[in-house]
Amino acid sequence: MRLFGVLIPEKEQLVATASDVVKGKAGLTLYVSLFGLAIGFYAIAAIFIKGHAHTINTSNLVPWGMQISTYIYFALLSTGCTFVNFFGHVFFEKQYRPFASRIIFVGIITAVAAFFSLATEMGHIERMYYFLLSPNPKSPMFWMAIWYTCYVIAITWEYINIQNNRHSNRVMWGAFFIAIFTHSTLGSLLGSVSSRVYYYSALMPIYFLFIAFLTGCSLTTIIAALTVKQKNLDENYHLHPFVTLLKVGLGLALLITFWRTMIGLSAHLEGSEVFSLTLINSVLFGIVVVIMIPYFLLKMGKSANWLIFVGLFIMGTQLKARNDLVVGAFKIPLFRVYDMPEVVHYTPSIYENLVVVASASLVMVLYIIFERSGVFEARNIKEDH
Amino acid sequence: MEQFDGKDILEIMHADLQRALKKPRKERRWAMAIDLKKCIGCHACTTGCMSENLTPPEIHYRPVKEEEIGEFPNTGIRFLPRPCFQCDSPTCTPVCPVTATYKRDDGLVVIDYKRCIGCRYCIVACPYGARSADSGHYYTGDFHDKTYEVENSGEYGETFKRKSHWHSPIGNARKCHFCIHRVEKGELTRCTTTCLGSATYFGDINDPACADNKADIKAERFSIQGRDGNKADGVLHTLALMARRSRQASLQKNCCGGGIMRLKSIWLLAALPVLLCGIAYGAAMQDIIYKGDKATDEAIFHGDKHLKRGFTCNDCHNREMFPKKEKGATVITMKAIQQGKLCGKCHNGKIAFGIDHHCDRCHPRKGPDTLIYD
Repeated sequence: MRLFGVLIPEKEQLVATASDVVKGKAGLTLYVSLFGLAIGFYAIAAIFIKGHAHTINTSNLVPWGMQISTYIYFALLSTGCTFVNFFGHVFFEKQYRPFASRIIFVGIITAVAAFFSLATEMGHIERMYYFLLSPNPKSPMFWMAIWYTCYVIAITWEYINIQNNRHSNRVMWGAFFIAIFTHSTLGSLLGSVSSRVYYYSALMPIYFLFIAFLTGCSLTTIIAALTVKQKNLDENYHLHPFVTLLKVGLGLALLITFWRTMIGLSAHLEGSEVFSLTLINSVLFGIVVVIMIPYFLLKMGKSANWLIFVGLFIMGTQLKARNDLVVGAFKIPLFRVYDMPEVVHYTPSIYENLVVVASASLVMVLYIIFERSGVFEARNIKEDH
Repeated sequence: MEQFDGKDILEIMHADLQRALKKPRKERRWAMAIDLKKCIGCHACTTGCMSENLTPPEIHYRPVKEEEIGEFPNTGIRFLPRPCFQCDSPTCTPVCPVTATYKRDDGLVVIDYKRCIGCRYCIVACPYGARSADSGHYYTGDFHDKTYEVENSGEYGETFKRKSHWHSPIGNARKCHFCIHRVEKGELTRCTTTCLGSATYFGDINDPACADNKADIKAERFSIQGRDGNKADGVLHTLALMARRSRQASLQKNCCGGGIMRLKSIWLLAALPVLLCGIAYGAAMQDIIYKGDKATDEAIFHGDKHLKRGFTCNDCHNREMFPKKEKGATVITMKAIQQGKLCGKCHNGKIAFGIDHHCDRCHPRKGPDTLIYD
């Protein structure tokens, strides 16, 4: 099995890319991504060097903030890529084939980017080996870690198969089901917290899967549209599956978001008022902006450029939606007494925002480098021969 | 300082503690009871805890909150100390992915600082906000070169210096541990010793020896009820006792010294003269009428009133009073009550109303909600 040129770029290609960067010929997107990566990594370094006290705005009232929501966001993006890879191969094989290696590769790097964000949130990331030394099988987080490892292995295997023209349906199905297990477990991590009514729901694992599908569809639509433009492929033919999947994703997201909000509103548990408190945001933003507007935007056009815009729109709004989901649970303090605020407000620090930039930039930089190096074309070249 | 039978309550608790420490750890069960009627909101316990455990800013193992009680216009303010409740079925321990927090044999929920990865999942899961994340704040800001900022707190009997955010306990979850490092050395918890109003009681609720010795000691008794009992099942079931209501009662044989409550034994202390009817299974929550041979023998046991005062079945159904929950198993006579036995243990005019001149309270007419056992 060849590594260079098939799975990762050739050394010469990497050198050429670096040379282009130095000469100013790398393109605006790569420069912006590199800049984002630099300031993002500065923020990550600052978090590790200075510590959370000086860099992070989370508190005892809001123990999880933007880093966790970023982790969830990128983990769901990765899952979505795996879902699209599966449905693409099963239902739209010919139309999907030019994008397969790109999409599964993005699935891998978004999973890695998710971990970057998670790592900055942990108080002692260096003790992660205790997951093996003293595991707690009762903990959803433990199972999430186990499944997450399996998931990354599975999609990497899928990527290797695709790149080596040995695509295996078994591995594809395996990756699909492991993705479902992994990210429904991630949903259960929040859904099983009985003390937080905003999280506590059997719907949460399903919610995560449906949202993963939507965000994954939007990201893969962008990748597909960019590839179509780059390779001068037939827009209508190749982008049609992505539009279809995106519409399905929006429908699923509407269904699960609506019912989660309605069931939350009808609850009479202590703390349920958080659903009323966030109702305007849930309806106006969570449903109208995040789901309905993208649907109407999709109806307005199907060109590659337009789909890139729609995809970016969905991804941007979903990032805020994930933050609303994670932080929303802490809006009302659990122990409500006089010296507690009625509503807890949380504003992420600049460092927390830059962690998002770091994760996003990492995905963009790796994708652009691999794309420029022609790794994703290796399979087609081999086929031509 | 509050006196019990001529003794300082702290002395009594200290003696109880020494006795408890002689037992194997798994036979002990540390508990804390707080009498809200006595809490004056002085925050001495909070301050004492901070100095004992050297907690950084924004981390208080035992804050004293203020809570509004009643409904307008009959409202008031109550001070509500909030240590960790050391829940019987804690929601914080199962979520820890690396078993860094767990419940010990003696009932304490503790954190292994050396194993904690700082994921904060337990903080999210705790329904009482009793856990905090140590992010690494110092009282002196960036100039944390003061000894008191970094010196060894001695929590859990180990050395933990807050040197940097790479060193525990910075980066960890932190919580009240009933000053276990003091307790295991034979000292009471700091909040117990600093409490100005003697509102905090601490000891081993499994201690059987203390009961006989302190049968005549008066103490405030508390009922225990979780704030969110419906959400976290059994959260406040046994150990740390957050008093929601207080009442006068006595330390009877089934409780530990110094006013330490045995949750399931509170019922014992206020048995009414007609408790015979309450022997019936499942009937303790309702009023029970006992019909005797003569009309004047008819008596009522107000199960709901006892329940509202925080008693449970086992408080009266013990070896000394009503061992069997079975009708007719214990014969109740006015003579026995007058001698201070059975219901008379509490209904002696000192703890609960006495039997003289209060006949109507136990021999009333039947109400619409009564359940008749005949």
